[in-house]
Amino acid sequence: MPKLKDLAKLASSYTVLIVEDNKTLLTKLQQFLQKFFHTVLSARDGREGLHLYRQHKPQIVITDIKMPEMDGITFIKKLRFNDPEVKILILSAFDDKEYLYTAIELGVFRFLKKPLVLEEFTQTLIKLLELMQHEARIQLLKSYEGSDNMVVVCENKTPVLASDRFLDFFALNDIEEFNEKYGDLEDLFLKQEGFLYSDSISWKEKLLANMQQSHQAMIKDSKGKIRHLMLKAYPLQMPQLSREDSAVVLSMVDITGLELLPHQEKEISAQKQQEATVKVLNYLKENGSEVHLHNFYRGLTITDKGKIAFVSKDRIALKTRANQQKAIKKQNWVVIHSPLLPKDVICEEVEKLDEEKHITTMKRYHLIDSSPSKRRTIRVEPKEDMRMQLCFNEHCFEAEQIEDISINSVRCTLFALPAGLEKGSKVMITLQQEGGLTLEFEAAIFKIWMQEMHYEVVANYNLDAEKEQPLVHYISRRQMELIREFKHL
Amino acid sequence: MGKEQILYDDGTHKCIMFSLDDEEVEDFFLSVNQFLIIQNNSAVLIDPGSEAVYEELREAVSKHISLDRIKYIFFSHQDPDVAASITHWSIATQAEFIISKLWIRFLSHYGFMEMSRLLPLEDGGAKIGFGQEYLRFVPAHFLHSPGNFSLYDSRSQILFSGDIGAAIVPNDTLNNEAKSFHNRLEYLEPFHKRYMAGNRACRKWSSEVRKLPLKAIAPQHGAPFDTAEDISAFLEWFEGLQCGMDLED
Repeated sequence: MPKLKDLAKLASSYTVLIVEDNKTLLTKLQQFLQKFFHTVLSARDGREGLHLYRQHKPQIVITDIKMPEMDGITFIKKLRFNDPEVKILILSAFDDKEYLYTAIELGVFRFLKKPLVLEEFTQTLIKLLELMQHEARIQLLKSYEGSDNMVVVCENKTPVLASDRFLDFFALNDIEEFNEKYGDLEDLFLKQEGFLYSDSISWKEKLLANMQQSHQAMIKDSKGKIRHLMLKAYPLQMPQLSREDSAVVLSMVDITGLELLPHQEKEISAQKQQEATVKVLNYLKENGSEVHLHNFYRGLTITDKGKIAFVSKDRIALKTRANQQKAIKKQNWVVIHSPLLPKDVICEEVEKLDEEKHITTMKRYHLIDSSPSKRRTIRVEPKEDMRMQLCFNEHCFEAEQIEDISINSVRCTLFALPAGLEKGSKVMITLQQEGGLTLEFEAAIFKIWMQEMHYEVVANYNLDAEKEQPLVHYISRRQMELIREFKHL
Repeated sequence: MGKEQILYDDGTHKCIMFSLDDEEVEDFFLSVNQFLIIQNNSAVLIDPGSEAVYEELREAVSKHISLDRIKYIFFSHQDPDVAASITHWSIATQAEFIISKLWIRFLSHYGFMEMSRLLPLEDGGAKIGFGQEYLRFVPAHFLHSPGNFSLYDSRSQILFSGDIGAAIVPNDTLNNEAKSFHNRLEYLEPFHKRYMAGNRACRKWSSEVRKLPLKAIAPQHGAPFDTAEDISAFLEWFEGLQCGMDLED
């Protein structure tokens, strides 16, 4: 007896229609198929069958030939006229050649003779469902045709089907040859920290735990040359396929030309880097990969995930949630961060803002060296009632304005600087809020730069728990105020 | 019960339970547990609680690991006694925050806007690997929150179950009398009957949990179930529990 478990696994997401005028047989078939299929529909003749088919669009139809009202052959002809893909099985006591030829002409999958042998029936259903799964996978692969991606479908972590581009990459003819040569994908990925396959985690675990995230991978091609790939796994979610949770599609693109591999570190021209950026942004777009978007509101970082909706050499459109879109609108720029980009990208000047679709089109973009994504801690612009004094060699200066503050740094503007103040100088800082926070601590000057009328100074510090706690509370409250303010913009 | 209890320690992997917060329940105070998992030199903080407990918890955690080594902070659900301190932790650490995707849009009400630091959990859960071991976010929806997860640590084999298994018991009764499952039942029953949505959810969670090798189940309130008998008795009770909508007409 064929394995009924196999049938259950394969059939669980499909709908089947039985058309049979023999009531006893119809009931028996119905009871049997209900154990395996998602939905079982039944009709007593072709006319009723056609009506149910139009309503429910089952993927499989099992029909008798001789029936009242509308016979099986007329029923199949009408079905085929509307749907050349539906799978049909004939169950009939008539097995003369004329019927057989017509069945072949109409693309019937099998002609089964009554009385029905359960074992043969089950085996036929399993074969049919396997064929349907295979066709669905091929359909899936076809949807990737024309893109730069190499695609491979894996079930239980073993490749079962691959696109021509994938096979060409390894100079192989089919997936069997691939499996023979490589076993599974395990031996393919070369170890590299920060990449998909590193010492700390199995690549499969990492990939499966991070579905729909892009990873970098190093791999050897058919000539043994090291290639740099971007790779992403998608869970296989197709209604035609059974609910096999271990089935995944791996989509890869070869980006060796970007020269981003550690051993390729060398000077890359600005033009080449721009070309590389367009290519990576395009990859992120095609794969629907998430990127991080960064903006500020009065010192506070507003970040969210987003997707690239469109990219060309001189335009980029980003899809993100309403709050981030509001921040982009307010600032007229946004920074994109992705571990797959060589550097962060700043997009400037809003060209179009579609609030319904949450898509913002920006007029230009380019790579930047210094980025808000590098901020390690939350900063806020304090309220006007916060005063700051900076003392160096017993000379104290009042800050004109505190630009922003975090638990380990403060940025302020000063009209004049104490003599001799430079990067690394040790200073005493006093923060005082009317009727609130008062803190005094030592800090080190990290950066000083001159503006037209004033100096901007950044000082870093390392507070002990006793001093850090009130500052965390202050920043937390201030953050809440700024969020409220931002939401009401 | 002490304010800190080491649940597991093998030299490279450590699980610590803190019981720092007190919620006022009717006429007594209820202790709230927070958990820390340390693997080598990085850590995961579980259900750090409200702003009221932030300072004390920060100090307690710092004794075990520097705050900048906290890689993830996991919230089993959105309640204030679980997640209200998110702003404080987002300022004091560089951690990423893990919570059901259902609650993402609510977090700005707690004063949090760095959405790219959030790792929203899909309903089916997720797994984070470390070496051969892993942390698994086990779906526990409707028990009691509609977007709710337990966290399973494969190395220690401890399941951090959030509100599931929580004993609403006065602090001074903890540990001794109310440690074994049978003695604890009277403190479990009223809470679970009212807060858990229905038996179907209880059975679904229990059947997932039964697939895991378990040394302990550590809830957000009360002591962990840490013997095979107690774990088994608890799961048997929980999967048979009539609660929530089961008890409505």
